[in-house]
Amino acid sequence: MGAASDAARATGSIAVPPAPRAPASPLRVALVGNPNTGKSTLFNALTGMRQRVGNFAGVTVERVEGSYTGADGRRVSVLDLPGAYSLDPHTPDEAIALDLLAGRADVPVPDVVVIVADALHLERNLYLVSQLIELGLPAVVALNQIDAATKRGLQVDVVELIHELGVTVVPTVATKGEGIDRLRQAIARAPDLPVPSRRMPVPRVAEQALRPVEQALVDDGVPPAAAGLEALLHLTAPGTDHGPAVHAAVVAARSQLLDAGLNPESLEAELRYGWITGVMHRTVKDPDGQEHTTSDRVDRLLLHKVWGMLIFLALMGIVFQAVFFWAAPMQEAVESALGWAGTQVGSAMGEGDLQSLIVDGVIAGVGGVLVFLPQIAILFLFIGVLEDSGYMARAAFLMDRYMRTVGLHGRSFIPLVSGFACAVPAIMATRTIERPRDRLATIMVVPLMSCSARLPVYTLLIGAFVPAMHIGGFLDLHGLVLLGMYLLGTVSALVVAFFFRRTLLRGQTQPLILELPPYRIPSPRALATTVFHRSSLFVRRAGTVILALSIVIWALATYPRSDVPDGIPDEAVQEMQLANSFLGRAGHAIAPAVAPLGFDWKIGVSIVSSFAAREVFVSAMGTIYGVGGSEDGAGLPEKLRAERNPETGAPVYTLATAIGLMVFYVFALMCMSTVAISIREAGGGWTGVRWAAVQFGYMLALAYLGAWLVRIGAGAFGWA
Amino acid sequence: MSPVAQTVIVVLLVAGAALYVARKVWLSVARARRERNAAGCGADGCCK
Repeated sequence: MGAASDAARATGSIAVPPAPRAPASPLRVALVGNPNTGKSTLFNALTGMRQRVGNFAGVTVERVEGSYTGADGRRVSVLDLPGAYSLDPHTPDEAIALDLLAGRADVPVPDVVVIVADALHLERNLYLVSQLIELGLPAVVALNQIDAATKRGLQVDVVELIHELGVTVVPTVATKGEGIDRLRQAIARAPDLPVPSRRMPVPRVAEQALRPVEQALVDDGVPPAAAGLEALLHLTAPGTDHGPAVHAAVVAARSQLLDAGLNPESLEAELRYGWITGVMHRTVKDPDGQEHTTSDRVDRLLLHKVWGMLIFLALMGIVFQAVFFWAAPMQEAVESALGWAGTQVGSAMGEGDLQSLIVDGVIAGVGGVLVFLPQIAILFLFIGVLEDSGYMARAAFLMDRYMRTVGLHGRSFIPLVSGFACAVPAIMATRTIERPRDRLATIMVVPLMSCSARLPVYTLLIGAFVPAMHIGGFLDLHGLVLLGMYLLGTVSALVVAFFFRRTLLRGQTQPLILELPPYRIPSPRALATTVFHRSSLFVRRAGTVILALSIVIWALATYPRSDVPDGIPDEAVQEMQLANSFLGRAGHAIAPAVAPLGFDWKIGVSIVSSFAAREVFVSAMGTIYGVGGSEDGAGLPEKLRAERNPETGAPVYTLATAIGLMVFYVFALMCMSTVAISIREAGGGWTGVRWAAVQFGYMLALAYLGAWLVRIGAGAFGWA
Repeated sequence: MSPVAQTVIVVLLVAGAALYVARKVWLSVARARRERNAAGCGADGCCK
């Protein structure tokens, strides 16, 4: 028997009568709660979906929908809403919840609200719970993480809590699926129960002052059941979205309350916290309340000014060492498999364009990218461990000091770290940032964080040109250079943010109030799901966009066929064909633009191709060297190392070229999806387009300048 | 496989890939335009 059932049994059973017969329309359920209460885990447990979850606040920033079939056969559609601390929205993601529940969104008001409350932090959670039950919608409270609360020594009297709240309370442990069936039954039954109403007492004088506001709100279209709550919310913000009648009523109510010696700004908070204190006293026993937990003891070390930072850097170092070290055998296996496939296909098919398309276009292009799948999987495994263990929130706390120095809000840390995976969700994660200028500054610098699409570019160039050696006997130089590229992106993001905050986006930075989640041992299943999901996204991308682009690039690199004089060696024929192809001509046209960076036309044309997505650089190089290459059977790194300038005979690629190219990719915004999401999240319309243009422009300028400086610097030291 | 058959397959594959890429670009542009309209932008380029 699970902890959820144990808790229910210990405190009295929850009578759940049989659900009514199935009506035709689906039951609409919304999951609402404080951030990091396990809403998305509960959503996944209810619907069987794989919505992203994490052990820190702000993982869900958009509403996500799923469904299941109830015991009565009725479809139940479930909406997972972003976490909110109250219905008085401060951030765009919090506003999503209120708009939906108040009927202001483009979807109908839900039939049932499932309020997810964290049993470990019930006192704080009850603030939102008390607001939600005042909305007058059928509600069920899922008292989640009841096992952690029990383990901590907290005893929650669930029956008394039901009595206090006036709604069904179901203890759950979403991570283990405990209490989920009972929750489903409670959801099915909720619409037939009396609608919950306000539980906290309101002084008579406040009631009288608020009554005209409530009436004005109802006249303005607010549902009567929600008018009481909205009236209280409007007291703290007299400038309302409603008509002048509501505004006038609010102003009058505020003055009436001030005359009665009550502070309208803090009235709601004082009333709620007063009521919550009583509820906590009657429902929760906390015998070890003041004792320091293991989490506190670990935090003393991990959040230490000096040790904390050193541990953070050491952890990052381990991650990037492992990305190279662990992935090497798997990468070799994938390379061998692709090499074998190329040889088999090449020998099975006769010479001709189709063979060239399959071997040089598809296998060299898509395969060249797929080789990096092990690195991607290992990187996401580590990110998953750091997130799920609760360390990521600590890292945000550690970094807050530096973020504030450059004018970034502490909440910017999570979007910045998410940028290591992909800038698109990372830019969406900025919705948790309250002030538009803080948010915009973060959006502008998120793409500087090295996303997983850059990993194939870095890994290809590091593997091909950085010597394989160990420093101090154990530090792999490949891993160190990779860490250097990630650090370059991160430090640049902070520096650029500093400039934005002192020029276009001036403003005060707000202090960070951050909830530190308890440490947890990451669930292997959840980690496997994350790694599988991310890896499959990578493979899908390789099999769709990159496959299509590889074929197009192959065609551009192959046609038109030119007449080649007889008696020329095969190698020279292929080079001439490539140079006269559409791609070759385009490459030679743009060659002067990239020549100052030490890049030849093949690199230039691969860079231009990768405007669609960064990985295309690798596939384009694979295709170009497949079509024009001479060393049959050699991998792309070998072909790059063997490439010679036809005029001088000098190697085209040196260590300086490789570093310059990597620096170019650290800075350049080569991703159509990121540009599109920046337009949307920076305000949409021309405002969004302008900001996205500034972002694209400054990043391209930095990329060009960075690569040029590497070349000049390398030349000065005689390394070029 | 005869050279003609090879050529036909190559043409079909290249045309399919080009159409796929063009469709992706078209969808991105359409999406940006939808976002622009959703943001309340008029045909004159002014957004509320």
